[in-house]
Amino acid sequence: MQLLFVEQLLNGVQLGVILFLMAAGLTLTFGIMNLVNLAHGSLFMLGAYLGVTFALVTGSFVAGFVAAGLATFVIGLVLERLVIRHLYARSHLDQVMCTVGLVYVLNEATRMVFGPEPLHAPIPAFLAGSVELIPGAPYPAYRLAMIGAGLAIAGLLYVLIGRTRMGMLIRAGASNRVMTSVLGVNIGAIYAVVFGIGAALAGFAGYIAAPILTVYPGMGDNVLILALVVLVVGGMGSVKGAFVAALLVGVIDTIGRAYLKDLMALVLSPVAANTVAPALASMLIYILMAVILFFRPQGLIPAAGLRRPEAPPEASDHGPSGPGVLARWRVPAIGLLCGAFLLLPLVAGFADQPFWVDMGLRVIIFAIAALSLDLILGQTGLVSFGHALYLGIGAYVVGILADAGVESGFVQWPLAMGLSALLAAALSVVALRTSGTFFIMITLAFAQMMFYGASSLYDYGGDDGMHLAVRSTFGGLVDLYDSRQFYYLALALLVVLAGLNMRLARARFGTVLKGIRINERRMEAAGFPTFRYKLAACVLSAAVCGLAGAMLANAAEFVGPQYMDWTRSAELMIMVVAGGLATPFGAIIGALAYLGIEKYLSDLTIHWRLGFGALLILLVFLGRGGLSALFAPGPAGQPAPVLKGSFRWARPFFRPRA
Amino acid sequence: MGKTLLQTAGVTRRFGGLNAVDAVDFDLAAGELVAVIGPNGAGKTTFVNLLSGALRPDAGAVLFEGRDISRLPMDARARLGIARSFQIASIFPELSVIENVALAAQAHAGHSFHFWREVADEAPLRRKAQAQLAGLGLSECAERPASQLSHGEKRLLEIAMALVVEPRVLLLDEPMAGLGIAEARRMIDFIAGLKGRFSILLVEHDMEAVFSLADRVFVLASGARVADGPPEAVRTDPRVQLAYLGGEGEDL
Repeated sequence: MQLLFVEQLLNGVQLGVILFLMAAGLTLTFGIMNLVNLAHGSLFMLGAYLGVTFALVTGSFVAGFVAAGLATFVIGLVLERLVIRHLYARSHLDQVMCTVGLVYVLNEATRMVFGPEPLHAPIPAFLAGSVELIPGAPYPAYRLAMIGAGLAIAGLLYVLIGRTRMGMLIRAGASNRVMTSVLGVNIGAIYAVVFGIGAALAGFAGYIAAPILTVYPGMGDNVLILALVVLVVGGMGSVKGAFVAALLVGVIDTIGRAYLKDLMALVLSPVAANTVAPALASMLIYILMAVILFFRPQGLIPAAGLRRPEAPPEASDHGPSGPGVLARWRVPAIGLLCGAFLLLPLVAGFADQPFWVDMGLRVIIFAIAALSLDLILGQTGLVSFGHALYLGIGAYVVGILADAGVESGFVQWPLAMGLSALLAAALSVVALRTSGTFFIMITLAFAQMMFYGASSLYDYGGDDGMHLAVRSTFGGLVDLYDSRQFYYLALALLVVLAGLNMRLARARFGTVLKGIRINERRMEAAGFPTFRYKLAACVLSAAVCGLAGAMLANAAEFVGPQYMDWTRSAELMIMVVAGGLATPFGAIIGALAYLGIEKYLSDLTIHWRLGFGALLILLVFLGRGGLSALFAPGPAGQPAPVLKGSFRWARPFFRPRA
Repeated sequence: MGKTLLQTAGVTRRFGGLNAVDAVDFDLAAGELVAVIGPNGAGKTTFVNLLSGALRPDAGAVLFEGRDISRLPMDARARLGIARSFQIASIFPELSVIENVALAAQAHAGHSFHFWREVADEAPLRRKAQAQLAGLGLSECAERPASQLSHGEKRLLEIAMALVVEPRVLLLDEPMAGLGIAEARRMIDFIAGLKGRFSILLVEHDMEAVFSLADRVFVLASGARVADGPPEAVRTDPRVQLAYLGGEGEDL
């Protein structure tokens, strides 16, 4: 038992070392360039692929090691030059969108080159045996070597930053970038090198982890999310904090998975322990993160001497922009959109393409989800990267209730909304203690926590999810098995929600959210307790997204953790940004455009994500304001259409927004 | 002068090893205008931040009408009646001028958990905002986006946002900074008109403004109080001159 514990402890340290190598690059780029780089996981993957390939070709494990570091260093420099460099001055939202685009491109390119099958990475012969650290407890030599190599690289990094001239410039750049460049240091070159070093560290990590992980496209994404947890727990921008947090996270995660079941069996019945323990074990580090952040919102060891980087302004801080190039087509465009949505089932009937109705239903459901995200992302300026979480909660409520024999939608759907709201209240109390980048990462980590939690619901299909046995019933009023009735129900809900959204934006509540987005400090100085309003916005938004999740479960007749995957959260974010922030019109055309392009590209080629990622990067650099900006009316102050007294309630829908 | 409204007792704030504000005792009576002056880096803005609640003190206390408010956040202090302007004009550039002021008024007119009724239809808020803008001579640009205002007008707008809630104490952090001579004149006249109606703390580098407006001048250097008294006495105080001339190796 004790020997086993030592082995588990070493496994934890070994995971911690890998996480540190990942987190070090992230924390350097954040601390110095104020950059959120979600493509870091792809560099991990590239290190594994390129290093292993080189090792197989040359037959030398060490040659592969060198190649992995060198190749990712060069790839890092190239990425920095082509894309990353242009993101430093952009908002965190732009950085997230663009680096997600890079993830799509790099992962898909890898799939094209190396194929979808996992690559086998052999353990080198000289490390194949095991070592008896303690008599009677053999430990694999390779894993021990991983710990050694990781610690050696960490030591080198420490010397590089703390002892060399290069490191001095890096530290100077981190504490005051303007002053450093005034002193004649080429700050651009330092940024490039720092990004390259971060990339190389990720590449090393990927290569040395390859023999014990599966090497496949997308392998870096899960490691990335763990590394983000490390970053947040340790304190962003702090290398020392990343080291401590990485070991902490690695050990707690490993030990939790190994022993939580036995521990819980002491207090719970064996059956209960067997059910709860795996879910809890996989959620443990996220719970740890939440607890630490609740008490220390800056992380365990905040970067010393580093002034809190001023977050670049989210969205725009300019006055209202002029009319879009298609402004005169605004009314016809909205009319066309409404007409198309209304008539779609009829047209599909004539054309004998019932599939179109399903497609339309999907667009509507995602439009509702995007609309709900827009309340916090667009209107309040809170960059939430875990919104798909509530899509999943809504879906699971429907699935689990249906499984338990409760089939009424009148029970399921409100419960889906209520539970989403409740969970959002609990999570947001922690998440809203932070702001800016921290908020992005915490929402992402919470969603991932629930993703793993749902994956451990073995009674409900675990990883694979489950088939929804029966669609929600509405006491004979609406039959969801009739695709037209389902479609029109969803459309009606969308119209009502979009209408409410527009009213809300012009009421006191929406005005406060807008004020918070533009200048939260000023709102506090004016006397608004902003926390309460942000919390309310998060809860409201989650409830609506939970409703979308309930509908999605019914439409797909499937419930699974896939709904909460972080790529799903990214999709919702892309819809909102592509359509245009802070307008329901934007959320709707964003959902339409996203699903339309996805359908079109995926019919065209199986490698559609490559093109899609490229589109995303272009969107960040060229598509300011999203699609709806093309149709934006002129600045506020235009005469509003005259409406008679009894129609005053409808005025917001016919007047351009300020 | 009336009774003491806002007071600090040994209030201290450290940044790393630096005592930005070091055990300062200060008081502001009802209806009084106190100017806080001092060389750059003296801790004036930190002091205002401690009073407004943007920062919490590391030691000492901030009292409002004798009540310890050191732990209250900024928004709660604002609702008690402590309004402030910022050193860098802080407004909502995307909103129209009148919306800026109405939004400030909204903070003091009950909660904002209204989801249906349009703000633009809330007559009391608009009336208050209009009256405030008229008083500042900004009525003509009420419907323009705030981003289109001149620098001086933005400063005035920010003060309108502070005044619209009828505060008890007004903390003005360098309201003249960056203004031209004519605009500064206009601002001095305006602040002179506020004297007696509000208790005002004015942080300012413009000595002409300080000595023409202040009932009392409070001098900070290196975070500590150097002098506190009537303008004429402070003007001739050798300790003040020493502080400004950098007798202690302070930067000017």
